[in-house]
Amino acid sequence: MSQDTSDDERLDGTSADVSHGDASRQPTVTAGSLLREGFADLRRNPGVALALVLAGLAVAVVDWVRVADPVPAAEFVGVTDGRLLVAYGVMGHVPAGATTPFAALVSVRPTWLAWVAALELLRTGAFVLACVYGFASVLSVAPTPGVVARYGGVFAAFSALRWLAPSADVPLPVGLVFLAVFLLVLARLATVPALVVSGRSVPAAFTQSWTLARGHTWTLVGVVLVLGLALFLLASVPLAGPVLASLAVALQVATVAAFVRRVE
Amino acid sequence: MVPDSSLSRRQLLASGGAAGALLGGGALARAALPTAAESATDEPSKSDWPMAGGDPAGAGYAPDAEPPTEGVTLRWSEPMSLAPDPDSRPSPVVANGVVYAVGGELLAASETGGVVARLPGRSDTAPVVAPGRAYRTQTAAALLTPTFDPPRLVGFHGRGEQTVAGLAGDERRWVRAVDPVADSYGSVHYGGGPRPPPVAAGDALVTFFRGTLAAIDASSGAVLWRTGESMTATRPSIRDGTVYVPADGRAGEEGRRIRAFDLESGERATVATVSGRLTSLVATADGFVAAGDRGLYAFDGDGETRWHVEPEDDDASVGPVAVGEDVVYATLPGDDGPRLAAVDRSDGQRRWRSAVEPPSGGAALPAATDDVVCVPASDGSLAAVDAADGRLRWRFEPAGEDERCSPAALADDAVYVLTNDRLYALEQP
Repeated sequence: MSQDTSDDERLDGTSADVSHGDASRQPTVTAGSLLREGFADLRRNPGVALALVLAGLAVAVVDWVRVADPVPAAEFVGVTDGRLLVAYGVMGHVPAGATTPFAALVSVRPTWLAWVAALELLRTGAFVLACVYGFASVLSVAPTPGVVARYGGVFAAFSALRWLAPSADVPLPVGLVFLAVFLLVLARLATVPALVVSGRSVPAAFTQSWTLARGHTWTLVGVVLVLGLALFLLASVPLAGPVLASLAVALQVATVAAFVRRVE
Repeated sequence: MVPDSSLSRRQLLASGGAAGALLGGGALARAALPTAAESATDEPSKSDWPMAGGDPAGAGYAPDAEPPTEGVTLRWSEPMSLAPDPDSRPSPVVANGVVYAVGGELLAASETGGVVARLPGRSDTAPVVAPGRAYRTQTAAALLTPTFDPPRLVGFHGRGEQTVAGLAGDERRWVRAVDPVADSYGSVHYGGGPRPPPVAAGDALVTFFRGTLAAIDASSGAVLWRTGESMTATRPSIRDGTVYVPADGRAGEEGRRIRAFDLESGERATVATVSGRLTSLVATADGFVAAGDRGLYAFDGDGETRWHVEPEDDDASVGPVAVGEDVVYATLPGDDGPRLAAVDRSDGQRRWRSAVEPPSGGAALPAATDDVVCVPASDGSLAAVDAADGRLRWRFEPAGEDERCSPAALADDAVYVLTNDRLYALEQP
């Protein structure tokens, strides 16, 4: 609690500086410099990439098993379908190759419901642990069970949003507006995972992330675009997609951590 | 700045162990999945009619059904949304007490009357019902033809259920895109549009998928296998784990082939080469019965012709066949036009020729028991003739002036038939 209070106080100071438009007091941060710094951090700490590759392997294995079971699974359609997506997940995520739509769980037998839930838990848990380990390593903090639980909760909430969110075909101009808003929100929330691992409460992490991003929104939009597109292209590789995409998530972890270190 | 932290030997070993455990666990799970599936519930019973043609072979023969023989009366009827094509009247299907019919919607009704579900989607091809291994209820699948999008095979929750733990879900289990089949005989035989109806065998649905034959898991909707060759789309006939379909011959060859595909693996073989086009094929215990533009055929298991009934008029094709224990029913051309007829299954000798004239759009699939044979007639009615001598036993004439009957489904003690805008259940008076 005391740490939260001190962080809030520090955050208030940073926020005031930025909101008053005093550019000389803001750290110089560009998307390119952040990505380079993140990459350098990953090279210094290969355990982060290794942890996320193992999490990506867990996702790939779950996909491999899920396509053989009798519960319907929607397959991930990558770049081969002529689409290009920004597949950036705030909490660090790779697109699963096989996911069961909510509607397909109607009347499913309890045994198979438990099976699907267990596999989802495995791949979600693997990613949560790998991301917490990654952020903790590059931010030089010691994760606690409480941090893992909070991170898992936010990760699950974002996953549920993705799973349950309705989709609709809209005209291109409307779609572009949605895309712009989506990117801005992603950029503003980009540092949530790093702040959660640093020990903030979930509401504080969201508030601070929103405030920290002020004055750096376009830089973070650049990071989201580069990493989100790289993640989508890597995830499009058959079978090995989740493993390769997890390397982009490792770079995301290191880049976001680098941003937090610079501006906090 | 992040301090340097190279990987320790212990970390590498632990990572290797974790990767090995993941891969090994995945391989074990995949190996165990086929046997881990619980036995299917809601498996269609012998007295059901879960697909067009009645059974996987497409024999159109229901020995366990006891439909009306001495006359017919209405048990119930349900209105249907109008079909996209007014000439489209696919056969209803029946499984585990639920009757399904398609048109402007997929209607699921109880055998005893009352709507179970009305599911969205337009279709001109008979639906199919199969057990869903992962589910408590059966899967009802239909080839939907949306107005603007490509056709798709959709697996619905068989009893129209839509909620999970009180949360509203969807009536669909899975969706698979199916491109249109350019060359098809489906409209002639099953009362539907240009696509032949899907066929269920165990947990698999066999259908034409993007121009090729494919097997699809009825529970998950996964494509189990697809053929590499495209072929004329005719209702597949499945027997003893093998899928049989007529296929075009190689370039320069006049004959047509009967192809055989292993239901599990999709491995292909050619079992017979025949002249002319086959438009209806039924695999039997000892060979095949087929119909086409050169007549009615019976082949043995090696494809050797046992007998051949040639049409008297070269331009007339023989209608689709229903195959009973020792008799074959089909619409055969004659001096007075095409008529429903019966020939002996052992030698092709004609047993009888009825007075029932097929609809102008082409002969429809007969539905037979050991007592009666039901077939749509030219006046829009459904006619039932005596299986022994072809004498008319009863005729059902729908109330509407323009209503015309589909091929019938025979299940338990009832006959189900679809007209342009209504599903009927008929019974003995």
